[in-house]
Amino acid sequence: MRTNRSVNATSEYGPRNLTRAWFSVGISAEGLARQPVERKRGRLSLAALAGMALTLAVILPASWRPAFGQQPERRAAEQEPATGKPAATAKKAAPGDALGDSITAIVGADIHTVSREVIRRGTVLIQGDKIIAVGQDVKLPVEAKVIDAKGKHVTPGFIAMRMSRVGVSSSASAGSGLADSLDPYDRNMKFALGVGITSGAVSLRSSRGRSSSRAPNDRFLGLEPEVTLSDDPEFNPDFGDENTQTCRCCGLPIQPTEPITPTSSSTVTPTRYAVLKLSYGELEPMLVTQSPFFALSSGSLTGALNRHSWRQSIAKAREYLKDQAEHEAAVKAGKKSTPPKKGVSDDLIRLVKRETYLRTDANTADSIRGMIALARELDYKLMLDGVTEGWLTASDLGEQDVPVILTPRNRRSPVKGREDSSGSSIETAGVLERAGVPFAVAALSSSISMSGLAGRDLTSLPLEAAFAIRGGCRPATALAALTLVPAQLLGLQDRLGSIEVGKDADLLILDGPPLDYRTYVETAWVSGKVRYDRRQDRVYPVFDREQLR
Amino acid sequence: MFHSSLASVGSGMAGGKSAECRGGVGRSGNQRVAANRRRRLHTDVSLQDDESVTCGKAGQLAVIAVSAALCLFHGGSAFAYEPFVAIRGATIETGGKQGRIATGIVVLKGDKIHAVGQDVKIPDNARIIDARGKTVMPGIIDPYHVVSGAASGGSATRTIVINGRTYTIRSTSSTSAPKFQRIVDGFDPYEANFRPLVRAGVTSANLVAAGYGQSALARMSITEPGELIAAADGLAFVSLTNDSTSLGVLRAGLAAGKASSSGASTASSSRRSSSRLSPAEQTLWKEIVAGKRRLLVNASNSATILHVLKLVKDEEKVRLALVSNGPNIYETLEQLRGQPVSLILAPSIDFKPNSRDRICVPRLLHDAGIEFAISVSVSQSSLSGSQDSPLVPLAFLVKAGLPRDVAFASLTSVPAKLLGTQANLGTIEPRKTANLLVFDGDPLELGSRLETVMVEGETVYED
Repeated sequence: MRTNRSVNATSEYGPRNLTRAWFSVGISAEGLARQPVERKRGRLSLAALAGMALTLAVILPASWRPAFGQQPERRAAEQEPATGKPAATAKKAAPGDALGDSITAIVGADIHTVSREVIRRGTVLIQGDKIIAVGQDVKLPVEAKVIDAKGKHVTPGFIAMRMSRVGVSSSASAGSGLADSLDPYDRNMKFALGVGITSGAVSLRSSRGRSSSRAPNDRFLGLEPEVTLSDDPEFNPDFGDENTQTCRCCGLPIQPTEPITPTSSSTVTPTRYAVLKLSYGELEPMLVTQSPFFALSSGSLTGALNRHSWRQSIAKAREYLKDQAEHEAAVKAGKKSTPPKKGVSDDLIRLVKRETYLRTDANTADSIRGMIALARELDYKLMLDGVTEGWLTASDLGEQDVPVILTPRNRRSPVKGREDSSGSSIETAGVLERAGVPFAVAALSSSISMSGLAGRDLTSLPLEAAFAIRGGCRPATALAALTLVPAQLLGLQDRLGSIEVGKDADLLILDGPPLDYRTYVETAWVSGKVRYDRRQDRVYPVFDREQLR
Repeated sequence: MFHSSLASVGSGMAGGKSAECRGGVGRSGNQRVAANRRRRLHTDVSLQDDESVTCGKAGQLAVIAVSAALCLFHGGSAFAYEPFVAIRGATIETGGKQGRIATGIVVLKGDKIHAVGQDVKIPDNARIIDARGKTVMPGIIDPYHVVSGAASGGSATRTIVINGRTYTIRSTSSTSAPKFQRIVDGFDPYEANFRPLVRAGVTSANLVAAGYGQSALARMSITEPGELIAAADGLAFVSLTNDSTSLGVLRAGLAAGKASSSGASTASSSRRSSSRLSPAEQTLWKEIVAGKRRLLVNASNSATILHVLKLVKDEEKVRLALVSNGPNIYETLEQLRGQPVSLILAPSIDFKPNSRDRICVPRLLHDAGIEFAISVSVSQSSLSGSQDSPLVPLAFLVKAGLPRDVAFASLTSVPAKLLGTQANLGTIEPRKTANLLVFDGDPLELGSRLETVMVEGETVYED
């Protein structure tokens, strides 16, 4: 099943096949189910499995709809064979797992698996840091520690596509030093866990130089204000034009101009990110991956000179790949050959090989189309951040299979006289869904500031997804926008983003339906352990809603 | 009182002379040492005892004559014979096998403990001190006394507030690793003010600084600053925080220690990693990796504790003593359990992190079976606040459930063990150094006062 999935992820990367690849990931659980059930360790009787499958068949049409609209008939066709087979299976623990790890069972909750249907009153079995069984009639092992979650909802942990100063200080630099800078006792982690964020892409200081989009305060090395919204590297005030950069000293917008002479060297310095798990109190699981994508500010991709240097960088990477292939062929043939000199970063090579996305921001319809055209010309995978005018460009995004990171509440005033064809729209999420554009939802700010519990900071992430529903997208899509889609954008769909056998046990027990504004996270699990407990941590109010009735 | 102050004057003079002869200690030149010494001598006299001052005013020559005579007497005694001193009738917290002796006798011979017990024969020529109703306990050993002034290149942070905004400032040296410093090299005993420490019952202190270096063990004989350092080759200490530069010090040290112990196979890599380390450092790390010398790590936050544990995980022989505060230790308690780590912390009842609940971390450590020592000087303010009843903070810990004997051990025998001086210090047992504290009651009672501090058989402080 693993190989099957990886083949899908790497080989079917042609633009037309992207959606298919995504679906294959989604249905890989079926592939898993087709594997013979290992009788020795299998904890489910076949009868139970058959029963399960039957229930699934009943539930499926009612409660589950594909996350990425576009091809429902295709989805249904692929679903067909699965209904006749067991859908959930107790999998043997992966080789790396300690066999002595205790088993925990979360019983009785509605399980929002995201990749599949919602399982009413189901059971999730966790062993070590993995999910080992999901389903309605999962037999509980005798030794399992049972957690009664009757009437509650279980979802995968949310993934923040923009995060800063959580689990690591903003002065931490990317690279080998990052692991040393991790702080598993960072208070911000509790705040993030409290709203359900269990992992996220955290922005870092570039290990070589500081990126151009740094906040004004960073001019003073080591000075970091604890709470300021505008410090956030991702903070995007509504200044009218998305290319606007703020002045480093006064914070006022600078209108973009073409440089008269080349100002920077031709090397492109990406903004550095790393994916962190918020495994509060434990160091080992924290660092998931470094450079999950190649992030560039839109500024470094606009203007003739910048575009020229970007084209050159891409060409250089391709040239290296070509030379490397020739070198390998020569070595294989037994000829003498010297390996080519690598003048480009590994991250860029991965981008050119279409293994990662280029992440850049684009808000106006023009810049969205411009970025899509550039990506098509240079042949790399593109993911767009912002897309305030996405409702105008949904078909372009859909045709080119460009996933986006959306903040539904992001506002942008329309251009005078073009009120019906410019500016932001609350309906963007719905429009994108109907156009088959996968989108992840990000909060208005990437950092945590306690001035906004339900405001604009990172902790408003689930609320932001609720605004996507308000804009006309399906609740299931909005939930996927916080879980499976970001996992896919980060290349971590094998581990994160859905409740499936073999995936990391990063999940939430909620006291109400996900994305409801009243819902609180009861417990947040990261890598199989409770890292946040609403009653113990008291980060958010503790009361019993039942009693209020 | 009169006797002791005169003695200090006398031997202070003698010490000054000898210091001049030896050429001084530390960076300061001969003349500065001598000048300092003279200045200190005068302030000593004026501050310490009004009686002696008036006496001095009346006839300074006479004082000098008397002190010279006393000095002779003191000097002579060491060679001629060692008089016995017997402390009789006191409750003795031996800290050793005999435990607490309700009414017992301690016999001192010179600077050593000769005998201790309930029924010990007092030698005929012994000077007898009647200590009925009092309590005798071993002198406090401070395993982590930060010497100010000798500090350098740490990666400490401090917080300032400008216009209501809080900024965290890293010290400028955080980009470069702290430099190795030996305490003895940068320490001027004539500048050191150990008086508050002595008044708090500390008889030995492991001197460290912020940053990275080798500690020195000091004996608190304030009468003889030139001989303050008992052992110059102390433990390696390092202050760490969670960044690469800081953790790199530990990483490089361990690598150098391993490389030089594993020999030629890794010669090339060792040369690279250890080239930046001085020979003294390399020897030190070699001993640390071989488990011959303990490593003192001051962890600035709880994350650092985890990083340090991760770094030493594969070094089975490395013995670690972690210095941190209560909340940090509390957060990492589960991860510290079962690790070959001792802890050094301040005697305080702490707040649970992000909570208003109170916790007694030493008690939690004891319950978890983790060895710990208490440093009374980690917090300087509490040290000066607890003068002459220095064990009151400890009494709160005992009140909060820490067993009494564990509390005493954490001040005496455990730090002695951490510093590798358990053969000489830490308990009241025969043949050990006579560092004693005499309280006028139970040391853990609020009303009890520290009456006498004896270092190596000599009274260095008397209330």
